[in-house]
Amino acid sequence: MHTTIPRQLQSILGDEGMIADKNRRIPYECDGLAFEREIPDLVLLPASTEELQACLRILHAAGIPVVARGAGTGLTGGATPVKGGVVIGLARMRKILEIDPTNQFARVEAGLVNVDITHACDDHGLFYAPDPSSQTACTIGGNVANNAGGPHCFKYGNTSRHILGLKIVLSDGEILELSEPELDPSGYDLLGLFIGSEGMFGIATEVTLRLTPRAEVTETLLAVFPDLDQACDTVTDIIAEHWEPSALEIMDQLTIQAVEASVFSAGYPPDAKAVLLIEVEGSRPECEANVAGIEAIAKRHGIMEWRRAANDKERKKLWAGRKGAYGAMGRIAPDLYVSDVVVPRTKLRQLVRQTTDICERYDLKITNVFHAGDGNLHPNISYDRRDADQMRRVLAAADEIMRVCIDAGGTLSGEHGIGLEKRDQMHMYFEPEDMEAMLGVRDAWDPSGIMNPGKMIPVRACNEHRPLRFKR
Amino acid sequence: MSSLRQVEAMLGRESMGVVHGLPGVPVASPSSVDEAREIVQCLTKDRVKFALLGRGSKLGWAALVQKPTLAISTAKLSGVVEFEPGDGVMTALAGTTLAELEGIVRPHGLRITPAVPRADNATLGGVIAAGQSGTDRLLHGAMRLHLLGTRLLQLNGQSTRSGGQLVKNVSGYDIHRLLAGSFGSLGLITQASLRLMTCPEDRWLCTSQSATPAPLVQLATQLLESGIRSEALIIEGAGDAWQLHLSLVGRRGHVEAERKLVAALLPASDSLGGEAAHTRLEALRESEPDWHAGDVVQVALKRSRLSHGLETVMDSGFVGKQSQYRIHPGLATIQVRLQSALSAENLRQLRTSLQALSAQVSLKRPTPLTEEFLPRVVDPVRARLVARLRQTYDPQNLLCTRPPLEPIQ
Ligand SMILES: Cc1cc2nc3c(=O)[nH]c(=O)nc-3n(C[C@H](O)[C@H](O)[C@H](O)COP(=O)(O)OP(=O)(O)OC[C@H]3O[C@@H](n4cnc5c(N)ncnc54)[C@H](O)[C@@H]3O)c2cc1C
Repeated sequence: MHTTIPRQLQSILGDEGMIADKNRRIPYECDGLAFEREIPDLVLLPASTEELQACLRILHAAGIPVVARGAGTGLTGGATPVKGGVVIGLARMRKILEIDPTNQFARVEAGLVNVDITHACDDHGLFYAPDPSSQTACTIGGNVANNAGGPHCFKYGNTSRHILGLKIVLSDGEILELSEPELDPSGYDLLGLFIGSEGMFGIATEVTLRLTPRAEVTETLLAVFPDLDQACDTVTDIIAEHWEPSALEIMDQLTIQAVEASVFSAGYPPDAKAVLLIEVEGSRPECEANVAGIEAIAKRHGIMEWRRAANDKERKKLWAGRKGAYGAMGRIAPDLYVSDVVVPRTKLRQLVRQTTDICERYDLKITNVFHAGDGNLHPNISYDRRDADQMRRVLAAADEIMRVCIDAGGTLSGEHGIGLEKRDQMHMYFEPEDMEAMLGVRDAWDPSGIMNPGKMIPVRACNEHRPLRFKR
Repeated sequence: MSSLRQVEAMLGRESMGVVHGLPGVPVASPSSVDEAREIVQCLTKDRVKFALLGRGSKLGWAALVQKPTLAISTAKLSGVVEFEPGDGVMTALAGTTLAELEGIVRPHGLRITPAVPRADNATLGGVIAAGQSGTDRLLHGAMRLHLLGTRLLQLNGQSTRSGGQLVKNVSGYDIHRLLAGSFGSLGLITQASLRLMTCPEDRWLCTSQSATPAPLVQLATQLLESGIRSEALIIEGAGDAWQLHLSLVGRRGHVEAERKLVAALLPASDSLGGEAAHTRLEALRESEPDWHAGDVVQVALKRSRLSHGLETVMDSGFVGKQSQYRIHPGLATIQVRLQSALSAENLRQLRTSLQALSAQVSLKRPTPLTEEFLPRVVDPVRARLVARLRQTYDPQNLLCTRPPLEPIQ
């Protein structure tokens, strides 16, 4: 990077807005995918869209790669810096700009932490529905970029169902406003296309979100199973019989034991082979009908125990175990590889078994905590990244897991995205021409190719024609 | 040999025809994606302008800006590719009609969204390309939200996939979202996958009358604020005869409970339950203004500004007293079927008077809209991006499409 560039950037951002010191840049070397690391040449922390715009103009002119970063909780290396590039963090852009309870929307800066919106509109009886398990840390901008999901997305849908408008700074510093007062866009649905583009189209600075009214009644239930297969079959039948819970989350025995031994203890029976955490929302009659229907299915599949939270305190406790599950897994091994695949919901049992068998074959410890209602599996592999052989086995097992899921009609990712982690596996799911089409779309958004280069789309598969200097 | 002759030789005469709404333009109906690819390649080689159609039922929405030499229809690309009732998803070829799909999924307690009028003539690909909504929009949201994946035949002859047949999937860019509402300007959608909805256990439809729309808009606001979850909330009328229709769906006990709430808010109303309610709602769906018959103005704005917007439209001298209105209070849209064609000047005036409400005004008419009628693309950044996207998919600018997709600067 030419020496004048940091000076120009600093004159825009001030001391507070730029990190040049190497030690202070190290925390930005990776996201939640700990084995992909690269220290960025600079970290920029703009405090406004205009500051970001001015910075991007300079970086664009100099052809310097840019990686946007929210909270860095992404699990696929989406926010991993690119060699010779800068990281642009949104941490100083976290204001709530507007809450409109009548029209049920909020306008926020992209660096706002997900859960803060729900806290801010609680008094209006509204909430922001997408609830990734990382919601106390991850940002709305990161959620938009990854089209994040969460337990309640079974009922409410991923992030893309809840975004009404975006302000985006494109790679050349142009500002694109995608706010549609009309329900159906009068031209192309650029908003829908941007969501899930993993920071490769531009940087979102402002987001208009749909707020959802709180349900009249919420019931939280726990079905305890002597066998993981039965928990999976229960979910398959709930879907096939058209019951409508808002969340269906499975945890297996190792997870239960880790949770129960931790501060997140929720009172799950440690001898159970699996628990299914169920939430039902709606009117009283609706909830009663759903609870009765789901309970009957669970009983048919031989539950050991059926619990119904009696009050808010019990409800929160049951959820604390699920929400703290990833934290609790730190007890099993120093590192955790969180796989994220989706399978048809008619094949849950078969694929959960297969993923477990694969890990056993590679002598790896697997735990399962997953959004069962969406068929979104998270086979989590506990490992120690300092052990090279273990690392090799983890990656080989992860590959096989993706392969069996795709062969069964599944897909590579349900919510975490592709990033670096699954970039080279894209060919398992897409043909070279599919990825070529993606590259074409990406070129239209960012002709310069400086936005998060080298992510998502593999280089070999489709004769990538981007400048080689961005390739990892 | 001309490209037209080549296409005719390729398909045989029986696969060439015409559609209402595109006079004088031959329509080729390939019966496989490979045939469609051959036609596309033949047309692009000779730089022939062409249009992409389903059955042509939406040509009246706004006619093509340029006249094509040929149109390619998906009418014969029909059939279900995969249907998994237990997973609530389906994949079908783009020429399959929504009525056919509905007939297949219904016996499994499932239904297709959007619930569009004239579903026996609305193809899956056409509904996606037109970004069409149905009477169930309030409950299920836009169809693009339930579009899980597509296959697109591009002008370079490649058949490309986006998404898949899974209810949750973030692999790759959501190019299928770009295709929803793209009006055949990027390529031929040949296949699509949808998330299916569950048929409601019970339904109930209530209708309230009034001589003016204002009290009904007020009632609708109260209904929406009460948290009642309706499938459809529609106000329709003209002159001094107006009706509000509210459709409730769901589990039996739930519909029963909501009926009581509604009864308190809408004391003087007629109501129907079960099949009768379903039949009435279907009739309402079918009576949606058909753009072939004349100009339709659509105003979209924020929910809190609906009354104000409606007053503005009704007070504007050029929307006749007997014009037929259809208002969706939950979606905050007003549609008016005009008695006579709107002049460009009047449309401009309407846009100006609604500007303060940040409303978006669009016009649908059966004949081509000249530039003066189109909403001006005020954002050059957006226009440039749209132009680049079109250039990516249609570098020779061969696809004849509808406004306002032609980038206007
Ligand atoms: C314990 C744990 C649990 C998790 N649970 C879930 C879950 O339930 N569901 C789920 O979906 N994910 C989950 N995740 C993954 C992660 O939290 C999400 O992907 C989240 O959306 C990332 O947000 P972030 O702010 O941390 O983004 P980052 O990790 O900083 O960035 C993610 C991607 O977004 C891009 N980006 C960030 N901000 C912007 C912006 N403003 N404009 C454009 N691009 C931008 C980055 O370049 C990168 O490609 C979990 C992660 C952890 C650690």
